[in-house]
Amino acid sequence: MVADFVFATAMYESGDWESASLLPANLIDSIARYTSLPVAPKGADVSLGTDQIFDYPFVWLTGHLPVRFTDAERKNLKKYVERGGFLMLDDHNHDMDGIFHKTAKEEVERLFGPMKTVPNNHTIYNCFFKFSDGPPATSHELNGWGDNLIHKELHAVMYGDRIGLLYSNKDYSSEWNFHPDTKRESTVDVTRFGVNMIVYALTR
Amino acid sequence: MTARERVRSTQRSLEFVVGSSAIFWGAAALFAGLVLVAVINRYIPMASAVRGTLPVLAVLAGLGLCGWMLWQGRFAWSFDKVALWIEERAPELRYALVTAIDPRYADSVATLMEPTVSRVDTGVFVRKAAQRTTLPALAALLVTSAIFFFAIPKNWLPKTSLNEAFSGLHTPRVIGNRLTPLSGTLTPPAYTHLRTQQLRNPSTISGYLGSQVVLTGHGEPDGIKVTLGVPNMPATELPVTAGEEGWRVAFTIKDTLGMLLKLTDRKYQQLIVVDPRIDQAPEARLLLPARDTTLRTITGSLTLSAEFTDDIGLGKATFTYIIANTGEGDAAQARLGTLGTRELGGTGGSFSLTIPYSSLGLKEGDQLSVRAVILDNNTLTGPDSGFSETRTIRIARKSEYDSLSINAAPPSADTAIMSLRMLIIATEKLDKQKAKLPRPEFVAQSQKLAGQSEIVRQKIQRILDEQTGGGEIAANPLLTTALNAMWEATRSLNIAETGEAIPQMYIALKALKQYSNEKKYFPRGQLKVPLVNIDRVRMTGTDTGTATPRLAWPAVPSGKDRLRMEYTQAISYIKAAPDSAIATFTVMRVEALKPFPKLAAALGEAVTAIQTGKDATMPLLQARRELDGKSISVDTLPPWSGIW
Repeated sequence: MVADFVFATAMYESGDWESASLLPANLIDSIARYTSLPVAPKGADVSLGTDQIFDYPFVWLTGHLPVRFTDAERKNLKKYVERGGFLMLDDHNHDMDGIFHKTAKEEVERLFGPMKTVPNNHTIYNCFFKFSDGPPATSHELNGWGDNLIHKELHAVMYGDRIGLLYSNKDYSSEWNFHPDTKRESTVDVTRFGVNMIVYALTR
Repeated sequence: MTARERVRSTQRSLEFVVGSSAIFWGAAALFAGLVLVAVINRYIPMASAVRGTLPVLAVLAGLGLCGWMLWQGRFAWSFDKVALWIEERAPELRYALVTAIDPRYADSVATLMEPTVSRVDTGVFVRKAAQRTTLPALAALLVTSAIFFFAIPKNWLPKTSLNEAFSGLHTPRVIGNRLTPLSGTLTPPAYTHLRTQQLRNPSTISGYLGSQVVLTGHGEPDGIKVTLGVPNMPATELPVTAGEEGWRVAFTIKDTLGMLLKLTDRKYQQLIVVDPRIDQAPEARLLLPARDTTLRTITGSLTLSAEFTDDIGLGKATFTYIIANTGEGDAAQARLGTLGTRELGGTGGSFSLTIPYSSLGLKEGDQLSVRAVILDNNTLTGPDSGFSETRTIRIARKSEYDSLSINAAPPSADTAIMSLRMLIIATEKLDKQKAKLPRPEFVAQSQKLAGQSEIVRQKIQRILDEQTGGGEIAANPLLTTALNAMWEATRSLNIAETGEAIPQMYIALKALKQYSNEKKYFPRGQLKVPLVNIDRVRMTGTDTGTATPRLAWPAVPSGKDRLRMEYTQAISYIKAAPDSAIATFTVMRVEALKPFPKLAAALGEAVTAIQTGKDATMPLLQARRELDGKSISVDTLPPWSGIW
């Protein structure tokens, strides 16, 4: 029997982890629309400091506030990524000078060392939908929100070619934080890259 | 003595003086030449082949000078010239001596000249000649030979000595193993303030990164090869130079990986494990504030307290803060700063300070995060830094609470943890005083703590009752563990067995912390999210995408598999070729240093036991266990497959 994929959002102590509360439903909707992956209709909120995260192959982490993991969260996060889990860490501020980016980057690099740039021809950009120019820009980037930059690349903790932790300054949390029913009003579904992330996490 | 006999006698003496002077000067020239070249070699090292020919050249120089001196003094071998030599020094003879020895006048005037000749003491002239020539030559020889033998290192000349230069004429010298005994020094980096260690026949060299290692042995350096590298990877050859009493090699411990130092002298070989010690990052533990808090009003003071430890030496300690505010929308603003700095020292220290909240410029909705940061004194690769846990103090907005509401009590599990922590500290303190306190007083204090322990146990019981709803839901196993542990702890304290109570209290603390983590209430709680109707939207997307096949990840080779194979091979020839087995175990030990330290330790003991002729069974068994893991017990026997 195949278990359903459950979209997991990481709860961590120091920040507003639930700031993109509609994002899980939106991506669950996209997975169901475009793929045949069995997916649970509702996501789960999992505490980063407990063993619960090891039940989920894909975890989303976002926020606006400073990221200061506890020792238990740090230990769990390191084990989770090293053992093959996929964590997506998105800066909801879209600001390289912002406190989320500075503190989250410090925490990640303290655990895993300096992050690497994901090349724009990486498998994650063509494992389901094709993104030949690398990560798609978000409307917040295009509108000059945050640091007024379009970040052309994503960064990651990589093991060889495999991405263990994907880090984004592009604010996909804001881009995808809308009710799934409003998706039908757009000509191009902006959540397609989210589908790639989940397919990559489950099949690589 | 006749005139002829007198001249003959003088001639013998002069032959001795001239001959000995020539020999002395020749030898002095030989030693002087060798000393000069040794001095030049000290500052401009010469190739071994050049140094090998120097003794031959020195001998030739000595012989040349000796020959030249003999040529200069060749008159001493001529009877007539010796007589003239005497006449030259005794003018009063007026050629009486020459006439007396002339064979043409031997029968006629020789006897008439005898009285005149006999008045001259030729010995004086010979003595003066010896003083002028032989004594200085002897002095030069003594000086140059003393310098050569006592001031010049014995090993600067390769042993392609004069004997070996004429190989075939003499038996070559046998040189033994120059790799034992081995001695040296290990000098740790200056910032550690550690002393230099002396090394004697080391099988392992363990030092901090940046340590300077010098190894010395006897004999000349030629023919000795020393390499340093990670096993099974290309190694770096280290230069071996002439030391004061033999050969010398020096290197710096630079890599964090274990390395193999391989010394080779012809058929002799020695392997030394280089185990780098890493300067650990310092650790910080924030004691105050003890937990996160939410404040309704910005009054009072913030007390910060932390303790720090480091393996070598602490540097600067500071408290850092972030004040963030999400505002009413999505925009998050933040300020960062430091609160106080102190230079610590030693391997342990603490730092406390108190500041009024008003000095931080806090306002409603702010979130103040504080933590302690410590640097160590590593000036080589650091300084390394350590961070404590972060404590968060939130300033509530008026809209977040009702004026009639009361601050919610902290979750029950947290108060139980706080009380249990105090109890553990008090019990440990009492346990340390067990030997000093009189028994009745010790028992009384222990029973007081038993009362406190009982209160904590009752708190846990209440939490358990709340969780199970009076028994309707199954109890959380963590709470059950904590409760049982506190029963045991209380019982032990009642009978004054503090040593038995403490581990039980730690079991309870760990279980409560884990339970508390799982049940933590996050500040904003959980919001309602829409439920996706999967059946309605399944495969309705117009953009179908292209699924690419899944790639199989290559199996990561296990380091232990290869080590296991090498171990089995080494065991198979341990009796027939123990040196080879030792070499194999040493290489395995280097590879296992960081990833499998227990295996490395067991192999080290095995190598030492084999080298000293002791029984290596136990360490080898231990190494096998480390490689194979724990044995698995099986409930049933396998099916019988014997032949009836």
